[in-house]
Amino acid sequence: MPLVTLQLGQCGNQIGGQLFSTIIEDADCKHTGVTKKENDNYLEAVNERFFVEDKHGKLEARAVMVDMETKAISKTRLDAKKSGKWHYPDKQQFCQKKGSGNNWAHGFCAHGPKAHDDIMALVQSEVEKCDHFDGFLTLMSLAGGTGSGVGAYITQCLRDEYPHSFIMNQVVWPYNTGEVIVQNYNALLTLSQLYLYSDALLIMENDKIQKICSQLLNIKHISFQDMNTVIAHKLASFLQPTVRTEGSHTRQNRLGDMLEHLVAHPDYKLLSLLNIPQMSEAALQYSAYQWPGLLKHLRQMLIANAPMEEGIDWNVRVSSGAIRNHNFSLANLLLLRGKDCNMADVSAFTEPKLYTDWIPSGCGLLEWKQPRMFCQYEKSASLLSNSQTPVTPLNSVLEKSWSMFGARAFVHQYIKFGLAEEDFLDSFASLEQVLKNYKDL
Amino acid sequence: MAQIRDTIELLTKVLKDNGTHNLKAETFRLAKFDNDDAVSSFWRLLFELIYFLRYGIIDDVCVKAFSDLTKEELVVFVKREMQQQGFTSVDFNLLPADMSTGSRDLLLAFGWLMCKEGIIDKFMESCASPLAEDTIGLYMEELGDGVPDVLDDSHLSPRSRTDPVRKVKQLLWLNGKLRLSLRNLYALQRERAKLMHKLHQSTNGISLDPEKNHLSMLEVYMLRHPELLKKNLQLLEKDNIRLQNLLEWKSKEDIFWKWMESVLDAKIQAYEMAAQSELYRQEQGHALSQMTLDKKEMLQKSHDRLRDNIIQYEAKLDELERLWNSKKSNLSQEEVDNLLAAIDLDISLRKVSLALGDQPAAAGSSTSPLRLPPKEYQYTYVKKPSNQDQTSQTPSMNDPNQRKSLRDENKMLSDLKMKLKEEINSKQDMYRDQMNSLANHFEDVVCIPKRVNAVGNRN
Repeated sequence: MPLVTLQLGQCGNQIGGQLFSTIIEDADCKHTGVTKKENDNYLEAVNERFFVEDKHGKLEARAVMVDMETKAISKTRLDAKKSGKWHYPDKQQFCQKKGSGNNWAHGFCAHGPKAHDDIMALVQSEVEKCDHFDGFLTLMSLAGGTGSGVGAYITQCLRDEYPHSFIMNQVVWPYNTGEVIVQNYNALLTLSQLYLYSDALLIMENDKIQKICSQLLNIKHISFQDMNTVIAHKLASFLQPTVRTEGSHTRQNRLGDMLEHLVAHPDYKLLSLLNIPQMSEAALQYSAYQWPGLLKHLRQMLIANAPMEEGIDWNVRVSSGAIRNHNFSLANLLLLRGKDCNMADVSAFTEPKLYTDWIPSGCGLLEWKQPRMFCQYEKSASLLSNSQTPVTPLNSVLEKSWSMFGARAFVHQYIKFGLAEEDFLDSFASLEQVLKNYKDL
Repeated sequence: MAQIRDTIELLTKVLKDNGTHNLKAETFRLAKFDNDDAVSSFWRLLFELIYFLRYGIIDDVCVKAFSDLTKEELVVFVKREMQQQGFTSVDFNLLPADMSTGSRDLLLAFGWLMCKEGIIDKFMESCASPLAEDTIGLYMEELGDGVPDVLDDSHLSPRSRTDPVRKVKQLLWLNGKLRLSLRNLYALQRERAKLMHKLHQSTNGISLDPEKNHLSMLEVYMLRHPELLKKNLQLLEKDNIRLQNLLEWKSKEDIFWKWMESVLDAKIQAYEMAAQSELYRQEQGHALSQMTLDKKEMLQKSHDRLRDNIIQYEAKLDELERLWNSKKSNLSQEEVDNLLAAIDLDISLRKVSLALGDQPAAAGSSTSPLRLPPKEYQYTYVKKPSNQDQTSQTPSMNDPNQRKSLRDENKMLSDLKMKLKEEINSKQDMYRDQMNSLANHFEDVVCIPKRVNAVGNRN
């Protein structure tokens, strides 16, 4: 069930490269916890999903790379080639000489339309390599100009040309105290645009990733490389094959199945991803986990809206009635990997009080399992959740954008490329609505 | 007649192939001679066949139901089901509930059911090749499981049940789910087409079927999994045997039915023999014929009544039809609807009154909301009141006709009084005679009639 990955902008390309090498690392793990035959099935599914075998029997990533500068793409390609295990397909890259200068409008209104034909031709040739095309995974950031601007434009084009396919956008949320002054504008415009055309937006917040790096992985000087590794690990933890038993058949997880469960309601498309455990390789061999403990932590992370297993607020309880202090969900997808995952009791996640009250009971949770160990973790769990988690960052982006827009700061830079003030106002309106919807869950 | 044993053995094979318990040809022979050993076997067979007719298969549930039910429940159930199918044999219905006797009647019932419902044909229809490629039927049940009935809103909190906003959200959610499911389905469909195309393309030129020039999906699957070939071959062979049996049965069927005729003859013979025996007549026949006589009378009566009613309504129907034709052109749709509703109401009123008192509802028509046509066409359901009904009408005293009828009524009532008095007298005489004759039987008893009271009654 192949996925075509679109790597957009510097951030998207770096994460994409890391994602593919994480997948390969996971595939190459010595400790699998399953029989050779089961492991072979797993590997076959992995290869089919992310790679094509080229003429020399080498793995070739199912990816299209887009950037307006050459630097990130060539570095990523080089890294891939160096690994000796996989590489990017030739001539599936699109780059220009001049970047978008962190200006969304430059990407969306200028670079995007100009590059449209070329990029769509690359996408088409990649899609045609798939027997069964499962959907698009688009990797991009919200803050920059190319990833967000061209990304939003390309997503719209994908929807036009592949109206029946599934599109999931993984977006990297900028730091709260950001590196780019117009990052909130860029995020605002990208989100409102993606909300129209994408099926789901998977949010990775830089702040939370940074916390994981420093507190869980004990990294002193955190680089983008470290953070991308965490993001790639999270992505792989839900994209790697899992199975589900329905009646007497088992079936592989497909992007379509997951999205059907998570983002059925067209007004709620924001997803967040929790995974447990996450630790440095050094600590890994000294750790042992049991399912009940893992799931208990994961559940508390969900209801207390905590990004990681350390520093969870254990005082948050699932309550009913007027006092609503826990994080409400619309739908959750639980993926269990590793030893005895079929014995794990997931009933704590099916509790109707976790979900908003118009979701019929029993429809909130879907679980997929995979007895094969993931990245050497004996047991691990990931929770892809459509919940109130994005309310806080969304609120902050909106507030900051409003205050800047009130002074009309930097707006002229956007207008220069053909955007109008009304476009800003439309974006504000649509995101305020999204925010309200999530708050009212 | 030599072939009959083979034929019946074939029949038992066919039955067994289709899931009934193992029946012996001997059982049929015993049943023909009304031997009691065959009874329970046939009850079970009838039960299984009725289950088959209802659910299309004889499965574990049927076997379990059979062992769970008591004998009596089973017999009652089978009798009722057979009645509903239209089998009204009195002998069959009088069979004892303890499954002790009556195997011949059971055999006849079995023959009747088999013939009437075309059970063998149904067996044939349910024969499906194990290799049939359309297997969706197998998954239907599983697909039904596990999906909560989301349209039933009892699982929602009271707030969402009443709040229209939440209701709309839920509907949007459901709609979105449906939309994404369809997209998923579409993707799968495309994948299937692509794979099928690939398969046909790569097997181009090789074929088992002269009409195609490629292998089918199943054929390729078998080539890839040769271990399944043996299993499927066995399944096919089993199926073949089943079909062979059914075919053979079709050619030998007439022998069985001829034999069934002989069973019927045996029953008639036995009945005649029994009819000669006085004992039998007293024990069963008398009560039976008495009952049927009563029933016959009753049936005849209600039949007559029905006919009368039909005739009565026929005239009205004609009239209505005439009215309808004359009015058809200038009636609006709304008026027609109203009229129809009114007629329906009227008919149901009539039905009720028929059911209650068997008297045409004179009152019903006077309160009928029927929108009647203009005066010159007006008709009424009021039957000419019979004398007894006179008092219940509300008479107008000013009407000389009414006064006259009151006089008639008075006269009639006094006539009735006289008649009743005479009857009382004759009855008293009769009973006195009876008392006297009774008194004669006892030597020490003298019977003194209560003359005083009797006189008192007389005056």
